[in-house]
Amino acid sequence: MATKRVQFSHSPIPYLFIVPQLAIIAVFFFWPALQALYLSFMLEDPWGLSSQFVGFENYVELFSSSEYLSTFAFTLLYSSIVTVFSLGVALVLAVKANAILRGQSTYQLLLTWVYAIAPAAAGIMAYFIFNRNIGVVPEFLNSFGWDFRPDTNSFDATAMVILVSVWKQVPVNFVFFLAGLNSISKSVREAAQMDCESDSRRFWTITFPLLAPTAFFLLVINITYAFFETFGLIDTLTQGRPGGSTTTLVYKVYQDGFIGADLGLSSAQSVVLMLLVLLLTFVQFKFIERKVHY
Amino acid sequence: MGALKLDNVVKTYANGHQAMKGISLDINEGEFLVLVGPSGCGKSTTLRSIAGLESITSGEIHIADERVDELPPAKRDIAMVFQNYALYPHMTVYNNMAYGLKNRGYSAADIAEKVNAAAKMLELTDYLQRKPGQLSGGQRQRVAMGRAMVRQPKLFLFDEPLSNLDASLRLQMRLEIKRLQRSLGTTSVFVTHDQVEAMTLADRLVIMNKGEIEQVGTPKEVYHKPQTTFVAKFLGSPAMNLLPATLVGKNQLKLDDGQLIAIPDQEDAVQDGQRLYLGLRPENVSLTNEGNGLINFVAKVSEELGATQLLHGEVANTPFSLNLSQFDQHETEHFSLTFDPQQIHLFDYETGERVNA
Ligand SMILES: Nc1ncnc2c1ncn2[C@@H]1O[C@H](COP(=O)(O)OP(=O)(O)O)[C@@H](O)[C@H]1O
Ligand SMILES: [Mg+2]
Repeated sequence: MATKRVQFSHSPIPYLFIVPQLAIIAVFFFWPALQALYLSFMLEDPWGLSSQFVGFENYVELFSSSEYLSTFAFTLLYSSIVTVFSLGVALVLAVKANAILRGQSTYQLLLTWVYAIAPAAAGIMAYFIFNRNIGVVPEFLNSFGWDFRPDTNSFDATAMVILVSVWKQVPVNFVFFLAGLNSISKSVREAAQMDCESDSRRFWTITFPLLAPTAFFLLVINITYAFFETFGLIDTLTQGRPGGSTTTLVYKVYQDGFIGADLGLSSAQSVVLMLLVLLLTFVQFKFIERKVHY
Repeated sequence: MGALKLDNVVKTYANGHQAMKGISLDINEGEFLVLVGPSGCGKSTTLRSIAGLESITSGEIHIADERVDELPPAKRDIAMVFQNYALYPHMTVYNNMAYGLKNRGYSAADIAEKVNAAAKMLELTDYLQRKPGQLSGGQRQRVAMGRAMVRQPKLFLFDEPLSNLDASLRLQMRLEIKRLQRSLGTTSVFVTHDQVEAMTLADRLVIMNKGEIEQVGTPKEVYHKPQTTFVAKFLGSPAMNLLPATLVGKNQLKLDDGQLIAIPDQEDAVQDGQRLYLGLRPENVSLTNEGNGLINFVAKVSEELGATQLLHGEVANTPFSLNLSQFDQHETEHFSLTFDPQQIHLFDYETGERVNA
């Protein structure tokens, strides 16, 4: 059978409609990205008066800097821990809250409203809570014999940043997990109840696989969160102290670019971050997404 | 002792609604019992209480000789087929059927044997590696049946399993369920609100109303000897005609418009002057042109069913329907009706209980 091809006459009007959107993307995404790419190959003086092409020198400097490499390592470790804990804690809370029969909505509200706090505000609150002189947490930890000094001890500082980051992210994950649990049909859960006596076995064979699409989506969201959105927390809590041990990649871009005014080096770091995001997106589409859907 | 026994089971929901008001039932080994009743009468609640998905407020449930009402669902040796199939969406057909066996510690070889046998019986062999999302409604229904069958439980429970299927598939699956149940010989409780499904499937029917049992009996018994006006109206389409009447002597009824109808002598079951309902099934009444007919009927509309015709009208200002094998249009709308005196049903006006034999 001959296929009939429908030809619409081309009119410029549809393109006009998408121009504003494209313009926004171009101005706020592509232009800065290209600018960063360009700057990463340049050496600029702090006042921006002169610049010269230096090839890959910025990148070479970056990856031979032990400071940058340790920031890289810290970011990976920090992101993994934050992701694992905020997903794990949220999942446990969601499963428990979902099993409550009375007052379920109160629990859900209490567990959710941290979501509404801005990261910087959360950072300031946490700053007071963890403050050595006036905070309650150091006092509490001291009573266990843990001499808690986040301003001088990098382990303590890391623990504090992770704790606050997890606390801030759990509600988001909780809401999504709860929605995921609610979307599992009641009769499927009941059928499983008749087929399997053990609660934990039922969770791992039925509930968890059915939550996998939600969990995968959250995994990506949480890695992104730990990489990028914790900027406000770190800026208010530690500013990377002590000695840069709580500096994440994004925070270092800011420090080197805006405080250190080394635009070339900072741009090279931005380009590295862009590549990481590309990689993450690639992994998401190519490998994992295919396996978690049914 | 029977295969399943409910002893005065009461279920009150958390909101105070009493969905089962003391249900007692005794079901025999291998029997196909159908619970039927209007929506909201407590059929699902009864079934779910048997399954253990709902805790009961008081009473006892026994399966074979074991008291089960305190046991978790998986310990009761029951399989259930749900209305929306409730298949595990992330598992293949094979794993859906194997899941219950795996959790009960069967060996892989045993499981394969049982699942393959069930798949063969249900013509699912070609679909074992598919996920439920890739199956048609009828196939999903069969997988749900297979999942119940492979475990060879003491009891099958069905909660309106056919109501999501289209009409022709429903008929086909109805026969298939009956055939399977006969060949497996597993005691079954089947819930439906569809009276045709109920009549055709049941060895015995349980008619429920507002959390109580109205009548238990074979399809023939409940149809021909309904014990209450509720059962009389619920079974049969169109429903049985019920005419309010007063007994005159022992063998005459006076309808509310004053006409007198002769009925067989009722002896001691009734008293002179008692208020009754006269029940007549639409197919047990026929038209007569003779003026000396027994009941005056005013015809209003007719409906053609092909094999028969329905004629709707009034007797003594009460709606009345006839199911006639032949009816030609007439000039007049006034007719007389005759009926087989053996086919009348008398119910007490107040209690709705049957009074004639
Ligand atoms: N979880 C529940 N909480 C409160 N009332 C319920 C609940 N489930 C069912 N009911 C009520 O109990 C009655 C019987 O319900 P059900 O057994 O589902 O009826 P059926 O299956 O016969 O349609 C209905 O009036 C229904 O509203
Ligand atoms: Mg129901």
